[in-house]
Amino acid sequence: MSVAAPLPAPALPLLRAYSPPSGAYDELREHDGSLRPHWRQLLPALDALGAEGLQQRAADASALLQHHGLQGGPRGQRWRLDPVPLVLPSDQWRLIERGLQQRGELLEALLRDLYGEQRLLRSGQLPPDAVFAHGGFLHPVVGLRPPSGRWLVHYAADLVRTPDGQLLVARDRADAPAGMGAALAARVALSRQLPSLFRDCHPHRLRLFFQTLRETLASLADDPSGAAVAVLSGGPRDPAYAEQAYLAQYLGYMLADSGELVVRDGRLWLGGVERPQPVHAVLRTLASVQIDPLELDRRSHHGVPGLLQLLRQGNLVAANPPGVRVVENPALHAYLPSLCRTLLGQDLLLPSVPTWWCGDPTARRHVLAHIDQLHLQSLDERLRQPAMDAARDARRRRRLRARIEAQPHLFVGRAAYPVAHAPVATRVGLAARPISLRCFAVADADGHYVMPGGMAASQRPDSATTGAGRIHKDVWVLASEPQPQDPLAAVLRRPLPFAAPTTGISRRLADNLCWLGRYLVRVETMCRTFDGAFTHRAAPGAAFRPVDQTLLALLIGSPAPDPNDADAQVLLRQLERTDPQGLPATLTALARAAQAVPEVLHGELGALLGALPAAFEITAGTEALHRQLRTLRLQLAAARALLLDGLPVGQTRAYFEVGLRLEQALQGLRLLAQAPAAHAEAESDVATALLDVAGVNARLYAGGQEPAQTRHGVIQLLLLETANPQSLRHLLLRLDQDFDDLAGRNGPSLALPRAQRQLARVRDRVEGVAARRLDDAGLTALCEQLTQQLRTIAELVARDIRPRSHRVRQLSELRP
Amino acid sequence: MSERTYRVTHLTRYEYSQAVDYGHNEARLHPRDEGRQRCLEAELQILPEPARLHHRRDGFGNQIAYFAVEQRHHALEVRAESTLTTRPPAGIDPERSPPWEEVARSLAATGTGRVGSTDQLLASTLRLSSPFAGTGREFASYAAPSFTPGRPLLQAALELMARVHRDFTYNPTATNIATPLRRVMRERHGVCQDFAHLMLACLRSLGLGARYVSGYLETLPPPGQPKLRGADASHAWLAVFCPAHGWVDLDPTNDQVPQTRHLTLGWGRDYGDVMPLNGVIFGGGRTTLSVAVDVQPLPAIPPMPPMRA
Repeated sequence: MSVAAPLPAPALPLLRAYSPPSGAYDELREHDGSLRPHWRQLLPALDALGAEGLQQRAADASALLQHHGLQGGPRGQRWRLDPVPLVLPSDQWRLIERGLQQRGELLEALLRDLYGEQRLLRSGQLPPDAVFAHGGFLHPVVGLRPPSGRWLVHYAADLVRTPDGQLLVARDRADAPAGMGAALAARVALSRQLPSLFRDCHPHRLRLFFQTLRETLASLADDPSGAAVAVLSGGPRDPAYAEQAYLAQYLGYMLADSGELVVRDGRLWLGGVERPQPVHAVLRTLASVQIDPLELDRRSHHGVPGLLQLLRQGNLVAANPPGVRVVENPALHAYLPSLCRTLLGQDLLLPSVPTWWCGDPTARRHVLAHIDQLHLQSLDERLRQPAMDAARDARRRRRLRARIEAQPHLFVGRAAYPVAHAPVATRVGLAARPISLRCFAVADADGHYVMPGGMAASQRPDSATTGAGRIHKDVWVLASEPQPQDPLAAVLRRPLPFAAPTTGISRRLADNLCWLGRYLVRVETMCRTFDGAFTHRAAPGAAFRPVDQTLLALLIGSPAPDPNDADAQVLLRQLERTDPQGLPATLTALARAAQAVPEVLHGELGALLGALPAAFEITAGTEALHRQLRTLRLQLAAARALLLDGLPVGQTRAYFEVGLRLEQALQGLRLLAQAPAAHAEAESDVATALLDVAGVNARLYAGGQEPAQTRHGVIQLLLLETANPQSLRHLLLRLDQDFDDLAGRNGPSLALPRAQRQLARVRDRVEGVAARRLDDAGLTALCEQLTQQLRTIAELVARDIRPRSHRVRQLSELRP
Repeated sequence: MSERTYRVTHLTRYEYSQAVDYGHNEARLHPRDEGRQRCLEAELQILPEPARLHHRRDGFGNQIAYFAVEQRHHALEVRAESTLTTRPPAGIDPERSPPWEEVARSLAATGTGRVGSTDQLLASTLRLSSPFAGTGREFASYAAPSFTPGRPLLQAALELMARVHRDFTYNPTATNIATPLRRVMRERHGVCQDFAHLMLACLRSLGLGARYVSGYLETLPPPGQPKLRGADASHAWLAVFCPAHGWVDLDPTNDQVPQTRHLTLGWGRDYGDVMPLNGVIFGGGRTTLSVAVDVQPLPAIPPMPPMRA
């Protein structure tokens, strides 16, 4: 055999900075520096785009991901999408595919046995200590029989490569494998950014994977429409909430957290605004132990009590059922080859990272003898994990050795490899970065279907210290030749609905949309008040005039600013106030409400609203503050317009509008209460300022007999003028229409009819106002009375939509 | 001693200062029917009437009743009544039990894959840490003076039980469910559950298999003798696995090897597996709990006269 002369490395400018460490597998190049064949089509095309072009694509892809709330924002996931996919050739792919199909079946058989007859433990084929030392085994799940005997409705595996390129499973993920949604989002974003490359390379599509997931869940839950499937999420505070929402939306499933779910009458119900809807299946993203505080982790705040019992009775399907984490146990890797032969009569196709379980005396001797070359791991996740390099120095090695010898069954030693590297786009071209790969499988009628793609991830070198900088990569599986049309696949490839479920809206959605409306108006009013205050205080240090007093009173909530205070300081203090009524807190509340309704925030909205608290920065200098406030006002106006354009007509929109109008009415009354006395010296100044804060363009209404910038004008415009959409009279009319919209759909048990009656009383009161005869005391009394009544209405509306307070309590904590 | 018959009434009542909308519960109040105990009948009465009631057995063979009360209520009452008989255990000969290290070794072998009997397999899993009774060096060293090299297991275990009884003070106000075992160890007081968990931790830290037992105790204050503690509530003790003897009950709270007056409800790794009653409620405000247990000996049922064919 002759040694081939090394090919000259291609002189691609993009690769100038590309130098993976020696010893690690390089996804891109052979040992001799030549490109691996499966990159030869893609790389020249990437090179043609250049480093700058790639950066631009990356930025555009990020913008697209932001549209879905998948990046940025206070709780959004901090990762960015690399414009360079990880490319896998078809022969390697076939190995992964067949390997994961086999592993899926193997783990399935293992689960059936461990939660059933436990023959493997009785026969000693699987050491009991290796299973029970790991927290994945859940005793309450023993005896559970999932529908059709399916434990792994979906399954994922993290793959690594040895330096010579062999693929190994580093970790099996069965409990609630994350990343399907991110993989989908990455694919959608990248295929839009590199359309021609995507077309030319024709990587396998992902659609059939999600189609299969839908069909499998539909058949397990006996629910062909999928209308009664919910994604069980950790709620808006879960960092992965946006991904969960994205996935739910793509699959056409409801998105639910435990606060919206309840077990009653032997079923799981999703509490909507109208009436609860039955849920037949949950795709859970919560860890097994969290899903039922009655039987599993009693401290879990995310669970639904009684859920496990429903699963036992077969009244609910869970994907996956709880307890499946038992197969994530790394000690099993030492036994999978023999179990595969016993259970399936086959050799394991896709091996695991070589693993030695220290409970076995022979394996323990091996681990102790090679302790400095292996990666030690504890099976008890509550204990501190030994550091990767724990065995480097003699003292720590001794301590680790003692820990292993004291409780050998709690430890595994695993072969450690230098991490494979793949190209990642940087400003100076492609850089070699450590790479990990997660592949996904979903059950179908015959076994498991493997997603032809996956989620690859890399880290910036500094990410260990900054915590940020996780980089996701799309995974392209190249067909060796133009894909032959699989006739069966074509039949299966029915369109997937990218649509929200058609059933009624959830309390979470209604409640947060209502508050979104209220906070928007509240912040807008604050901005306009500050704006006015800054504009009027053109001369620093000048004495407070009545108009300043009025605006400050609106900001502070009481009419007594210290006249000696430097005005900018007073305003700054108000801007910076940290109480819940202050601007920063209100902005945060606004962003949080937005974050809780990811399913309706399309386009730029999610990113726009989510970024508000961070984007608004209180800077020194009146000019800069002024600019900031104006930018914020524009952003809010844009958000409001986008929401009104984008929210579907019906309850969804009505609850947002109710929030807007209630708050506008309440804010209007606050302004009205500050109306100046007639013929006062500053009547015109104060009136103008108040109308500005209300956002009323007084000139449009100047056709009347009197100028608008008077006490009478303020009362007329803010209270009675039906042509002014900001007037209380008009707002109440619109509220009445909104209520009609809601009432038509709601059941009779709700508080809405009472809200409507109350509203009718408020409207009567306003109609009866004789503006001319309102003196100061009369105006104050009127404003107070109306404010009180509107608050009652707001409370009645909230009663229907406020998520049930889940004060779940454990009885077992009591002792007699 | 001969067989005894008991009627047990276990009444649990929760009262809530505010209405509870609904609650999900599990009751483990059905006495086991195995070994030296026969459960002749057992019934469960729940007020308000639960909308759902399902019985099942857990992995350890305990009977569990799941029930859901779905109407608004201000009090929940669970009354469990059962009739059962007990026989004294087969006499044990502590001196002739196998050396404890030998037992620990054989359980370790089963835990790492050597085929053993069902009990041996169970015992091997019950020597591992559990949430309420974890292993640790401090427990091993507390047990060490009793478990001297080569000492027969039961002899050592009886001595350990006597030491726990002597060193620890019974004090119902000192601990609650959440009190970590390490604190019980440090402060040296607790209740029956704590002592059972403590002894489990000691035995498991030495590699021995032991299980937590939940049940009742008949109190019988004969004149001049102190009344046994734990009578007016549920009681808890443990059982250690000893090959050839099987599971040997030990009651460290009373320094006794249970005979006929200990009635077994269920057993598991620790308290968490066999809580007599647990539940999750929605609402409820302030909750007060009262428990009344009555263990009433019945006159021995006369044997049936022989029938003639």
